[in-house]
Amino acid sequence: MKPAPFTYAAPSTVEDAIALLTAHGDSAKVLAGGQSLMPMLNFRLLRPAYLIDLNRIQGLDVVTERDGVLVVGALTRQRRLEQSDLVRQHYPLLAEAAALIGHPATRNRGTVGGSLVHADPAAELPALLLAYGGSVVLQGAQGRRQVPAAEFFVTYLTTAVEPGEILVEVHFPRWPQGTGWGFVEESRRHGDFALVGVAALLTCDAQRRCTQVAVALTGVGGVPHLVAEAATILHGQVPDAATIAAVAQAAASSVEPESDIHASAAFRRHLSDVLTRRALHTAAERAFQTAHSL
Amino acid sequence: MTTSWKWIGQHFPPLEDKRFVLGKGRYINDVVLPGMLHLATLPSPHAHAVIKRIDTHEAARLPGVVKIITGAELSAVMDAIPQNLFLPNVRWYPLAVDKARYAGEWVAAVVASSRYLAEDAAERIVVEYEPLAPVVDPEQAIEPGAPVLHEAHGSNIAFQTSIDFGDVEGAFQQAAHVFAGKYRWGRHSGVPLETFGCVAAWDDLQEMIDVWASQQNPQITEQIARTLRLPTHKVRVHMDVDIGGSYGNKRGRKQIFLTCVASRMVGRPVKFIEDRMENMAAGDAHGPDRVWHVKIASDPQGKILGLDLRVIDDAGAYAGRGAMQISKPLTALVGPYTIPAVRYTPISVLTCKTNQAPYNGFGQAPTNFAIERALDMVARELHLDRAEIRFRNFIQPHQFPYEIPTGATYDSGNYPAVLQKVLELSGYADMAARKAAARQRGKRLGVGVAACIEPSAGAGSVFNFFRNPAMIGGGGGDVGEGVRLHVDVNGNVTAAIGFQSAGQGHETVVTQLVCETLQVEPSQVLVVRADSTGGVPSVATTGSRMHLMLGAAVLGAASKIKDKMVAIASQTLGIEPSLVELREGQFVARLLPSLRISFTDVARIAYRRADLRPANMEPGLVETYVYRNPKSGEREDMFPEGAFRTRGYTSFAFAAHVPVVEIDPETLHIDIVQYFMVHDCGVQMNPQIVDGLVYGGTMRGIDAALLSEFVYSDNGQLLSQSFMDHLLASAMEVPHFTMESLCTPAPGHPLGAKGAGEGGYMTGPAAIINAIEDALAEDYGVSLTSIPITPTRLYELLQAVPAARA
Repeated sequence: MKPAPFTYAAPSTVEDAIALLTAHGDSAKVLAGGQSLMPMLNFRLLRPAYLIDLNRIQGLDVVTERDGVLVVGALTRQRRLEQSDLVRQHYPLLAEAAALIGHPATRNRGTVGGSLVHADPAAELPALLLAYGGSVVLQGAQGRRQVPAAEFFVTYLTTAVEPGEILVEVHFPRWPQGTGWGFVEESRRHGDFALVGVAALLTCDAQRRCTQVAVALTGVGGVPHLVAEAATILHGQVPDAATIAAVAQAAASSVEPESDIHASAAFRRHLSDVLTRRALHTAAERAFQTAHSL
Repeated sequence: MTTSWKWIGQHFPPLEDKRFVLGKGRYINDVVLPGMLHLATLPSPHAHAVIKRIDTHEAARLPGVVKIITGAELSAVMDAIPQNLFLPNVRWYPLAVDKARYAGEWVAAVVASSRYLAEDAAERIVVEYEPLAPVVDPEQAIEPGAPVLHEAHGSNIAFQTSIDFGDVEGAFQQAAHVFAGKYRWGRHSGVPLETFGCVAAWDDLQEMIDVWASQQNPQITEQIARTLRLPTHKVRVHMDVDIGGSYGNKRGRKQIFLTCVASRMVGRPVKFIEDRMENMAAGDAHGPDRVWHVKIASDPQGKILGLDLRVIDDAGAYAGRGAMQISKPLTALVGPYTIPAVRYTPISVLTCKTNQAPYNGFGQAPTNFAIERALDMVARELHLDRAEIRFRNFIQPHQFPYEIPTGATYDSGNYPAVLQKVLELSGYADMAARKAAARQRGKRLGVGVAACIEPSAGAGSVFNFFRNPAMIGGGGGDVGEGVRLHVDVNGNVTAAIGFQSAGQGHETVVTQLVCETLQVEPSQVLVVRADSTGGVPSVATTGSRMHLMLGAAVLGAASKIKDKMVAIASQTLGIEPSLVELREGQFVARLLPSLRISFTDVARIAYRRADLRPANMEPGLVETYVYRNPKSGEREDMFPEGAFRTRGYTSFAFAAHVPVVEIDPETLHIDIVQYFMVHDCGVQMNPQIVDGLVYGGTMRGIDAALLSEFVYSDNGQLLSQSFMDHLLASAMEVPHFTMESLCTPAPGHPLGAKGAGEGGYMTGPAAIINAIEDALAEDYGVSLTSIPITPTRLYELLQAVPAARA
């Protein structure tokens, strides 16, 4: 379980990294936190001729707010997302869910950008980006482009990143006052990839009526799944047991999970129902609390 | 036996902890020799395939590659690996010779200047296979027409027999109730963090080989000699490697033989450390994998009259030592119960999987699972409390020594007291209220009850069962354990033991024993590991034997040393030896304590003062004592013809577990919220170490019940071959343990000690499954028959219950 031979490069700027990536094309792979890439190299599931290590690049680990959007540098460690005051205060769903990504040791190394680009179908961050309605900034030789979450995840372990591009920033729009949140996941053990995970954001007005909602699931297919019916069912309604149950059922019938040795597709579908309901109930409770104080 | 010990049984933190906690242990990968090369293997991608051709040319051209070994080449220079069942037509070598018999089986090995290069070269070996139909399921393997793994052997059955102990037919005929169940014990194992590793160094001048390995079996020395066709004294196995976890499966026979042959071929030291995939798919380290068909006969009150145990055990592709795990259960085949008749029908089956290895309890854990599940079945059918049925069937304290129908004689115990204690600790009587409260919180609470007998310190005679004339250490084989004590000229003590440890604290226990017997301080004692040429006979850390065997061995050696020192003191003090005693580090005249000579002065005389020693006394203070297992020497011909019986274990410990689980009825998440256990392993030499053994074993029981499984696809591919998919209970999964112990000393042991290393794992799975079943009883009434039980399997099971669909 040793990697196949590769040439290692550690550029100090994004531009240098992109130049290397452009020069080597498909034979190069980008190393960030290494929490997925290193095992895949060791298993020889990947055998890039060039490994471009981004860790020497300064400034790719900002966590800041710009125009009501949380801007997270691609190299930001997951642990920082979990502990940042800014994130905890204004993006509590993100902070809460980040604590469920692996273990402290892996979060200390694992990066936000790395997890999104790796796009594991059971990872938390892709579903969170989708729930927030966020986007990523990709940089290539021709400059930068912004890709919304809904277009970023293509299929299993595949994203919209083009050859020669590097993910440099992640944007999470701040949701308004009156937003409640819930994140629930079921995994075999603490810190394992989710069998199913559900991220919910729900905004209510002072009359407790839903004005905005997003429910995203992970572990239920090749890409994170946004429950489109959530808005149609809940908009203008007071989220109660019946409407929430309807969304949960819509979630369960719209996902296309697969079976593996940890859970059957049927069980994942069942969990999609249960966990969506729980995430939305928690989100509604929290939304009511903050909406009340509007 | 004295109870006023200064060191034995007292709080004495393990001496080894410091080096382990500081990361200063010396593991196999820390063994680095000058000029050492590295070995990697090439696995078969097919579960069953004829090897048509192996082309190594391209691989051999890579820089750094020193040697590529194929199965054909290997089998020409070594003997087949000895198998523990009598299977002359099943040929087992470290590399597949003309057929690969499981996915992952090693078909070639590369020796290169680094492990990286060796793996690069292994990828470039071209093998032409002719795939055959695999045989994966053990029940299908014994069906007519199943593909046969070893054509020369003729079938996939490695061993089968059926023996009635007592009047089984009569018991079932007179029974008021007969219940039947089928249970599945899933394939799992210990999976230590450290994979198996070996370093071998061939010496051309002496024509001998030096071996270091993360192995727990000193008898490997004679096996290396035999397979490499060397005299035994030309094999030196070093015993100074810390084993990074074992629980029984650090055997690595084929790994060691392969590394040794490779070193002899290239004339340089070779290191082979399995990677995780080599270890999981092909390391011969999987535990038992069993299908049970159990029938149980009871009277109207739930008194068990007879038991019929039919077991199909999946041994893997070749029958290594693991396959013998169907024999140890004979020594506790009726558990702690007064069951007068039992039929045992074991069938050992060969399939397309890596070999079974010994794992915690040597086959007793799945057997105990079957017995305890059967008892629960009777309790359920007769509406008896699960504790009550056990009380009704327990062997009572006044019945010891108690011979069970198989011939094994339980030495001592107080089973009702242990179960009573654990029930009290857990608040078993108040569980109904707790269940109701949990239901209020939206949870389902369940409590489990299970007990087990832990046979300790086996003798080779338990394997008479297999009648394998070729087996090393078999037959009436003795399994003595030696210690050599050396009191030096200044009265400091070196104790040599002849085996390696995997965290059981043997250096600590030997130190305690030396301090106790020779009345020295721990700072005066050093425990060392003699290599295989060092003259300290040892067998293995198996069968919960070592504290017990070492304890008696140190006592014996210390007694010989003391006799000699007393003789010297007697001469110096001018009194009879019988009037001299060792008291607080001084040899004292019993009747006149002011007449004394120090331990150190006696030691000095023993080495330096021929004039002060008794005439003709040999100088020095070095004594070896090999403790003979009291059960060794038993031969098959001691029993009447046809009436096979076994007596092979020395003492019998006991444990009872009561876990409390909470299940989320929607997600089916299983949470062990409390875990109570009480055990009785007689006199404990180091309670802290015993606690650790029991906690560790119970964690392995949690693995078995809920998490760990080697999952094979229908075509024989191992689907869980890394820690991504193979789940073990981690620190996060440790429940809140509450443990107490009782002490019924072993009457046959000089210190009253019994074994303690395996009871946790043997009891845990039955107790946990029982608790889960209890949690779901009210809503579903399902019975759970297989492990591991996972949320997704529970879901499937509950979907089949009509009430659940509502």
